[in-house]
Amino acid sequence: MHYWVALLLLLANPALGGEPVLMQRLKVRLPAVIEDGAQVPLRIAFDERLDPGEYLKTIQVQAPLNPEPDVIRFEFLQAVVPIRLATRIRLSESQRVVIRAQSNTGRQWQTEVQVRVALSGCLTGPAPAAETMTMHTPRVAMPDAGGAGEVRAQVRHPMENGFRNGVRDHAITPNRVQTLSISRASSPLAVVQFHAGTASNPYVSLWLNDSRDLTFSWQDLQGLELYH
Amino acid sequence: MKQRSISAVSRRTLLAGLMLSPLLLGGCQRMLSGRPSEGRVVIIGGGFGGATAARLLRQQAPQLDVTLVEPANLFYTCPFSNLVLAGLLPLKAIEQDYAGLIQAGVSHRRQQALDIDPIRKQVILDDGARMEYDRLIVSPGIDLRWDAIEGYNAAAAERVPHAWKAGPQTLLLRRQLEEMPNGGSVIITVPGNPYRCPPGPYERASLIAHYLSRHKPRSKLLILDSKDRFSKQALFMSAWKDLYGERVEWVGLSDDGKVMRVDPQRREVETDFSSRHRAEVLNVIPPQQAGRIAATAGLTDASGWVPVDPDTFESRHAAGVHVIGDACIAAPMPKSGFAAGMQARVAVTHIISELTGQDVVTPQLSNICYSLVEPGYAISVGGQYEVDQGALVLKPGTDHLSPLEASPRLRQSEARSAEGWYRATTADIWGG
Repeated sequence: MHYWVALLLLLANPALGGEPVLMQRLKVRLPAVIEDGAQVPLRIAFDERLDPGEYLKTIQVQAPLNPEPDVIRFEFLQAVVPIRLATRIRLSESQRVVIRAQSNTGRQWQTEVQVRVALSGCLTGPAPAAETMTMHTPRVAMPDAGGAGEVRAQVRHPMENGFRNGVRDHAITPNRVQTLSISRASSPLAVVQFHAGTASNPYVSLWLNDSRDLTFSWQDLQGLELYH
Repeated sequence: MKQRSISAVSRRTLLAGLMLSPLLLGGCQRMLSGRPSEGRVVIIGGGFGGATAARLLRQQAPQLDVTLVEPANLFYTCPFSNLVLAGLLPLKAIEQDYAGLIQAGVSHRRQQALDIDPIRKQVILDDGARMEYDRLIVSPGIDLRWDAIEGYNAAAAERVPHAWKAGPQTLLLRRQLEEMPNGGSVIITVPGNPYRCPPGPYERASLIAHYLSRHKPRSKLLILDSKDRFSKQALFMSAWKDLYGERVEWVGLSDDGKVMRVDPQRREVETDFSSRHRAEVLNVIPPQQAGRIAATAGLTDASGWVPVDPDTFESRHAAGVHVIGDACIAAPMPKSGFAAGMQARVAVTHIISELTGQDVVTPQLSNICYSLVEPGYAISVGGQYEVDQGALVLKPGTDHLSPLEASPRLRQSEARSAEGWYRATTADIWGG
């Protein structure tokens, strides 16, 4: 008995090269080297068997060295199994991105991923253009015939946080899309909260076993809503 | 073509040596060269990185044996290949051979390297033969990822070219453009970072647009991009507007530019949000990875590229093995022929220092990417790089970009610089 406890403790100690057993259930994919920190693809997967009646309730992502550390938060109002998410985030510099998950019974998981942001210097933004500060062009894509697959949703918005070169410029008014709500047959399924670390033109992909009767609604900081 | 000749006696010894153990073979090879050697460097890949390394080793440390493992007799440069496919240059203009390097004393082993044994320090060739090395430089370029876009595999590339390795694919795309009727459309799909030559797809779009404007005036070009930002973007987009008007349309990631599926038969692509686009000429530039041998030999990481020590370009997975050029992870240095040559300098410097004890000066890493927007009009971006806290960074204040507003004379002078760089560099590396 003591042997197994000792082994678990050994495995759970990162200093000894072993990963905490619970960490492995929350799988995160981020590029190790990032050339454009403005649109970084992030994938999260969780398909461990949970206790009867237990399901993953929230997943939140933080980038502690960003000017504002909150990146994005997923909240599930119904059980979504398995969890396979994708989105695009902003990273201002090399750091350990922290992803935390919590189930409806309070159990927690955490994964950290070290990334290097190497601004290539080859990238320049587009010529200054009049970017509208309102949401437009919502896009949704679904698997055929309401079957299982990746459901993708995106809306156009510059997601202005008011930072320039990592410093808050008070002449700029922040304006961003705040939430994306996904419902099935009018019953709320998931709410995604976009924070400062969510990339512009927020993009969310979610695996669903049943993609029938889905509606999408985006809300911005001004309270405006867009439906699809 | 001059070759180092081996006498009949030495040939028999060589054959006898081949039958003996690999260690003994290594010793025999060194004796056969007819002069004492302080070490043997093997180079895999005869492109910008490998050929530069071979040339520099012969120039700076002639006492070392240098063998270039490269199955081809000819190398077609990706730089300037966009001019070939736009009909502005013949293929011969981008063709290089290994005669000059052989004359300089490089052994050209015309075989494929299949694997590396870094413990026994051997390269395993396609016939099973094993080649000993004291130091190894691996410069295998890229391989296209045939698993990245549904429907786009090696067979599809015969109908839907990538032309991201110059040579027959360049001619294939050229032919398709020539055969396209006036009024037909062209689509170029561009992958996300990292990929070989960041501004390359946009130079290609510029020069194809130039060809269309002269020869197929009713035809248009659509770029479907998996990115929202790209190298020299403001410069390209303003040039497209000025020179080509509505002929060139660019659709970025956030406007549903990411291609998920290709139907090679119909030359049709489908994007993430289910838009479909069809064209008479479809050029798919798929996501890429390090040249195959890098993965086979266990040098790559999960990204499919090779992590290296930025001070020496030695692989982090294998001591004594330097990986340079497109295959290695050197961001923020872009994947370019220019960068490959610079990285070759660093690797060679380190190798010479280790094998011969010579004093060497660590060269400065830099890069310049020239893009030709149309004949006589070029733009560029560049910078210098240094190692800071174990990683490569852009040296502050060294990044330069062509100005957005410039006189035709400046654009012309940049075009001349681009041509000058190409002529001088290819002559230095491959010239006889």
